Amino acid sequence: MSFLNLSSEIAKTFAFTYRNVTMTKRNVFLLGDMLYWPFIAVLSIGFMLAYLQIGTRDAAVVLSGVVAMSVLQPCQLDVSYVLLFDMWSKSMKHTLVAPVGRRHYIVGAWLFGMFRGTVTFMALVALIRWLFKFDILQAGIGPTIVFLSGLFLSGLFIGLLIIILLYSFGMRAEIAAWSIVSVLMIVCGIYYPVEILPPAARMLGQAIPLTWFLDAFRQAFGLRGHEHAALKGYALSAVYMAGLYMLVMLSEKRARRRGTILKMSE
Amino acid sequence: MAEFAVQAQDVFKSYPTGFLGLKRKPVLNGVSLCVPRGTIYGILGPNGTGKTTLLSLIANLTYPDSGTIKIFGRDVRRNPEFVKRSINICSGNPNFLWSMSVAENLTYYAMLYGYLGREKRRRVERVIDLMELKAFRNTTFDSLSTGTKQRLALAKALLSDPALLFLDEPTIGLDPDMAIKMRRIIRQVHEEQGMTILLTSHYMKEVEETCARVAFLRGGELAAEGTPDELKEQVSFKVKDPTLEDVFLELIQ
Repeated sequence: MSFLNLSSEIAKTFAFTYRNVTMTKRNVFLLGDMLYWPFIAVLSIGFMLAYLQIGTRDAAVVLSGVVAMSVLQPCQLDVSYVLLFDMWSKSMKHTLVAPVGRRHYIVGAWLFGMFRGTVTFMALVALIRWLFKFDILQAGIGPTIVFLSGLFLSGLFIGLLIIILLYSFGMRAEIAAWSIVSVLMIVCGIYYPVEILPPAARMLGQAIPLTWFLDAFRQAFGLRGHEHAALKGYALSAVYMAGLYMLVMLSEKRARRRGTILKMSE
Repeated sequence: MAEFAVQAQDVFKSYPTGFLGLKRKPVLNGVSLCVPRGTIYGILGPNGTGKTTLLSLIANLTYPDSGTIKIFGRDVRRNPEFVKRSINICSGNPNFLWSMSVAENLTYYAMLYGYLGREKRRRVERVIDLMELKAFRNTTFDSLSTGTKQRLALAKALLSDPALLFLDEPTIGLDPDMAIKMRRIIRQVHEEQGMTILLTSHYMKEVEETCARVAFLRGGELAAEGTPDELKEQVSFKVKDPTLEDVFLELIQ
């Protein structure tokens, strides 16, 4: 790849990062995704744990789940915003006639999603340590990095799923951007191991990478879990990445053929 | 070098409609046209006759049911990257990110076209100067007047120096003085850069003043095509000193 091509690739990718950064700066409510709801979740559940006088290991299970959901949401929303901003502003055709590909808009938006997720994570770690005297980082640097990478990958997958739904159903699918994470709360066992779920739900949970990343992180606090949980999470992630990218491509082509792209630009 | 900027051959397009999209609503029925390189080419027709769909097909934003479309000799379906590098669009109902300023919107689009650093700034400043947007550079899109939004839309379309520019009703809803200004700028960039421009409009005078050739669409079909003088000649036996408006009225009957 020549220097000019590399520079052009960087420009096209960071265009979407730049757009998400600028839109977030201008909208205080978008900051709510990052801090307001995560703080509400940690405070309400943290005080409940204090009241119930739950031991450190069980608290680790629940708090790691709260942190997971809180980091996941802004990260997946940033990936979803890449299409939602175009739909809300009815400017989709301007983006799609530009010489950018799916890799640019997905990676560009995801980069800012990871940044927002990291800020949320750091803020929650500090809040939990200060208020509830519990240090999430005692899991160690390695497990924490694996956990965060798993959360960011999961955020990417949810974002891609929402992009597929938006291409397929237009604005009717907008609500999915805020509701899919809630479904994951149940099947991925964010507050409990998936083993306590009914068999069908357990199987579904075990087919989702997030379940394995949560399992691996909890093992760092001395809880029993599955062998090679993180590896299973990464292996499943590779499958999800390939499958979802293919589906994004197919749904975009279908949206062009059916005129959905034009409808979303009018 | 291809003689034509656009060649459309027997293009049919319909959209799914009704319950589960099982029915099809035809929009274009076998349209064929050739747009010579370097001309301003007008596409006219009543509302809902397929003008915007035709532009969208050429821009590869939607796909034809059948038929082929080439730009600069290359099939648009087989060369999507070439199409994207060659074209840009300006729509009469400009929509951009509401919370971003004029300069931020232009910066974003300059980056989408692969420009970074000094080159990005040069291009953004050039179109800001050309479209006289300096006073609005820090104004957010939702605070702009209709005329300024249109100028921003044209500025964005000129950022990439496209070889083929689509102007979809670029002066709709503008005050007469602003519309005159926009036409002057369109002619100016056409003369300076020699780009091919595809223009749709409801204003016959605008088309007569700016377009070298004109195509009339009626019911999704090509009803007539030629230079404004050739088209006026067709109705001269009915109307003395006909205008394009007379041609339009004659053709839609």
